Order: sequence, then structure tokens, then C-alpha cells
Amino acid sequence: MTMHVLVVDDDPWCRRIAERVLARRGHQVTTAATLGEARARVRLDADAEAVAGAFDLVLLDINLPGGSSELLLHELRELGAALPIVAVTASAMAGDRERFLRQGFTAYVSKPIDVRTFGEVVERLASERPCPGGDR
Amino acid sequence: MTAATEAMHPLLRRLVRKVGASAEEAPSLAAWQALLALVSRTYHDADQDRYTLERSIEISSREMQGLYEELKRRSEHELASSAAILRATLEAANDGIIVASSQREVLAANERFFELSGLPRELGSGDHRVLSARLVAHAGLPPETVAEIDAVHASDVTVTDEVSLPGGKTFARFSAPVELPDGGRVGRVTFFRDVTAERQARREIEAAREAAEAASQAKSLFLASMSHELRTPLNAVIGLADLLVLDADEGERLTAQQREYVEGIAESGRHLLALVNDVLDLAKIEAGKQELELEEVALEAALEEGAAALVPLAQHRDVALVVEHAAARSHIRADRLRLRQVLYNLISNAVKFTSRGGRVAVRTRSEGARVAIEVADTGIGIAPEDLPRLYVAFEQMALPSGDRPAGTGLGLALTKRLVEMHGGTIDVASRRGVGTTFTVWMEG
Repeated sequence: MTMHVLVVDDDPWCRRIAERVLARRGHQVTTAATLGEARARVRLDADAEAVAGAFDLVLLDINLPGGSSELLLHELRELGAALPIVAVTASAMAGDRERFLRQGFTAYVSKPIDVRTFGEVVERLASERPCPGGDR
Repeated sequence: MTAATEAMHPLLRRLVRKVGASAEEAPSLAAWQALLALVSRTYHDADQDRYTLERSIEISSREMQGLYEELKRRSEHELASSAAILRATLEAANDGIIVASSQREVLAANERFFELSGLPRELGSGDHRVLSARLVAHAGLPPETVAEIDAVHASDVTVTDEVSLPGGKTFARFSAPVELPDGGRVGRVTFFRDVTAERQARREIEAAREAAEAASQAKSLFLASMSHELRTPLNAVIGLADLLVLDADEGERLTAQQREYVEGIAESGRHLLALVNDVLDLAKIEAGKQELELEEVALEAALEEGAAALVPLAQHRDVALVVEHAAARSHIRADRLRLRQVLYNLISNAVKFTSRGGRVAVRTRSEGARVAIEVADTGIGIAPEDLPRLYVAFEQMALPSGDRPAGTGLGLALTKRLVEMHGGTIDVASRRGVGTTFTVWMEG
């Protein structure tokens, strides 16, 4: 099953790597460098169905310039979009994981990503329910 | 009875009989003489008695007077010494003290009171309400304070509080009723202590503490952002190098030398990442920012997990890696991730410093309430002179091959601190050419 994945990251090389790794496995990738771009890509102006239909999964970098990534998460969740949203972050302080899951992210992946396993990890996450604050 | 004796006083008649004369007829001259002698004697005796009585009355009266004088002198002395002691006590105190009677008469106020209050000394006697009114006005307190002070004065409460004046001074007040042993209340004593300097010092300490906390917060924030900022480009370095190798594996051609270089970039990137992680961990521990998430951890599973992560390295180096769980306890209270980090560091060191064909054993055993986790190798051992530098950051021993090991040089320093954060200790026993055993002691 191929997916359409939205990669939101302000670092161009991080976007490029995620894009390349996923493309190697046959997935379609759209990228966004800012929160504004991400909003436009997920078509927040449309209804939940359109949003949910546009992507199978969102990889959302934390610490985006010009706005909190958590905001996009809440906007999507409030709209009722139940797609998996995965926090990808280079911040690795104690308690981060718990905080992200509590906020409603589907899962948390720490940077730097391992290009050998990242594709598989993302596919597994996409096949799971988004269930905010779940076991993952 | 004749007329002569009839007219005689009965007392005289008795005396006449006493001298042996007849009372019925006129006494003879001899009887008169005898009578006179008797009267004289009797009078003399009476006079003697009167004199004695008068003397004794005079003596008693003088003694009474003396006694009275003595008592008076003594009580006056006692009163004076009590007053002197009280006055000296009042004046020796560093507190301003004021004593007033239940009738609101100022009984005493010490010099310090006038110094602190700035009131004139003539208020040291007279109506307590007048003094209160002056005090309140002088201190710039609201006028209703006068009534409050008077209400406290009339009550039997003990007051311990602080009064901050508009001028910036702060006084600690202690006020208590003066009670007689039989329970009667005779007045009230109030102490004022100038605590302005103490309060100022306390505020300064508080401000310094807040500044230190803010600095620590800033440092913590700095660590968090540094962690983020360093990892982001590292992500690109490692990821791109790995991608290049992956692509090359799938047919895009790289020369052997190019492949070696790219692998070098990826490996160095990983080393740098490990270094960043260890430095940040160490910094967090040193800053007291590292918190443990304690839970019951299954010992054997933790050991197996720790060893499993190093099986590839052990196989690559042809070192046998075995786990032997012999502790009576199945679980210990620990932070799962940190315990894994400790095991990983100790086992990877053991594998790295053991030559081909050697053996690394990860064992547990109980000793009383403590659990020992041992990582024993048959490696090159550590020279006694190197032992003191074992847990010092960036002090690395040479590998059997003579190369510098691939670790960060922070592994043991970090391990020791992590163990100590758990309330445990770490020991090492080593012999050159025989092997090294690290023992982590954890309280049950």
C-alpha cells in the first residue's frame, strides 16, 4: 500500500532525507517548510473529510519557526481529521515523549532518523489507529 | 458599831482588822502606826510594780519601733532593688519595651523604646492612649490603629506579629498581659524589635535565589535548544551519508575510496551524535536537571535487553556474551532507560576491551538487601595507576590493538553518575591480562 505523506520540517536537508527515504519505498511525499505552508497543504479551509482524504500521515517537526507545531495538531484534531500525526523532533529532553503523546500525537520519533529503518517505522505507524495518547 | 468606825471606808476597816485592832472601837495609836506602816509598805510595793511595768512597756515599745524600722528599711531595699533590676533589664534589652497598667497608665518604657519610636521621653508616664496616639501619628499609621492598640491592651491576648511602617521600617511586636500568680491581670508589656535589616537581608536572599533559579532555568533552556540545534544538522549529515551508501548499494556507483569516505562521514556523524548525547546527559545531571522515572524493572529482562543490543558487536569481535541471573530478587526499582544506558555502557566497554575468543559475563547476585550487577570480562585489564582516572570524563584507555576506542570517553563518568542517582555505587576489580569486573550495587 502506498501512502501520501506530508512532511513538515523547517530544515531543508531533513525534508529531503525524509522525502527520499519514503520515495524509495514508493510513497508519495509532499513537503512544507512552515506552519503556514503546512496549513495550505492540508487544506484546513476544507472539511474534515477532504483533509483526511488528502494525506495518509503527517510527519510534523516540533520547534517550527513562526508558530507552534502543536497548534497545527490541535487544528487538525478539532476539525475531526483522524489521520496519524507523528511528532518528529531533535529535542530530546526528559519527558518529551510523554508530553507529545498526551498532546494527542499518534507517536513520537526522535531525530536523527535512521534512514535504514525510518520507512518501515512510518508504515507501521500509518497502519495503526491514530488514537491520541494511545499506547505508542 | 460605833459612829467612828461606821464612817470608816470598808478598805480601811479591813486594814484595821488586818493589823489586829477592833473595828468596833476607835483604833489605838499603835494600831494607827501599824496601819500606816502597812499602807506605806503596800504603796511602796505598788510603786515598784508600776515602775517595772513602765520600764517593760518602754522597752517593748522601743523594740517594736526598731522592728518596724527594720522591716520598713528592708522592704524599701527590696522594692528599690526590684525596681533597679527591672530598670536595668529594661535598659539592657535591645528591644523597645513599654509596660502599662490595666488602668492604661504607662508604668515603664525603656530608652530603646524612645529611640525606636522617636517619641519624647515625657511620654514614659501618663495615659497609655495618649502615647499610642502619638506613636501612631509619628509612624504614619492609619488613625484607626490607635483603637486597635487599645483593644489589644484591654484584652488578655498574646500578640506576635510584624508591623511595617510607611517609612520602610519593619518591627516585630510581642505583646502579652502581665498576670499575678492568683490570675489577676495588672497590665500589659509590649516589646518592639527593629527587624528591618533582617527582612531586607531575607528579601535580598530571596531575590538572589530567584535570580539563581532564573539562571538555572536559562541554562536548562540553553541545553534544550543546544540539543535541538546540534541534532538537526547531524540528522542531515548522518542521513545523507547513509542515503548515499544505500543508493550505492542499489546500483549507483561509488568507487571503493568514495564509499570509504562516505562511511567515514556517517560513522563520525554517529560518534558526534553520541558525544552530544553524553555531554547533554552529563550536563543535565550536573545541573540537577536529570530526573529519574523510577519503576519496578524486571532484572533478568533488563540484562538480556542490555546484552542483546551488543550481541552484533560481540559477534563481530568474536567475544562470547552470556547473562547469568542469580539474584534472589526478580525486580529492582530503577529508571528503565537509565538502567539500560548503564548496562549498555558497561557491556560495550567490556566487549571492546576483550580480545578475540574472550568472554563477557553479565551476572546478578544478592548480598543482603542489595543487588549486585556484575559485568566481568576476560579482557586486557586496567593498570592500578589508571584506576583513579576511570570515571574522569574524556580519559580513555587504549584498545588491545593500541587504537583509541570508538566511545565518547564519557561512558563511565556518565555511568557512575547514573548509578549514584539511583542511590547505588559502582566498584571495579581488575588484573592486567586477566580481566576486569565492574560491579553496580543497587539497594533493593
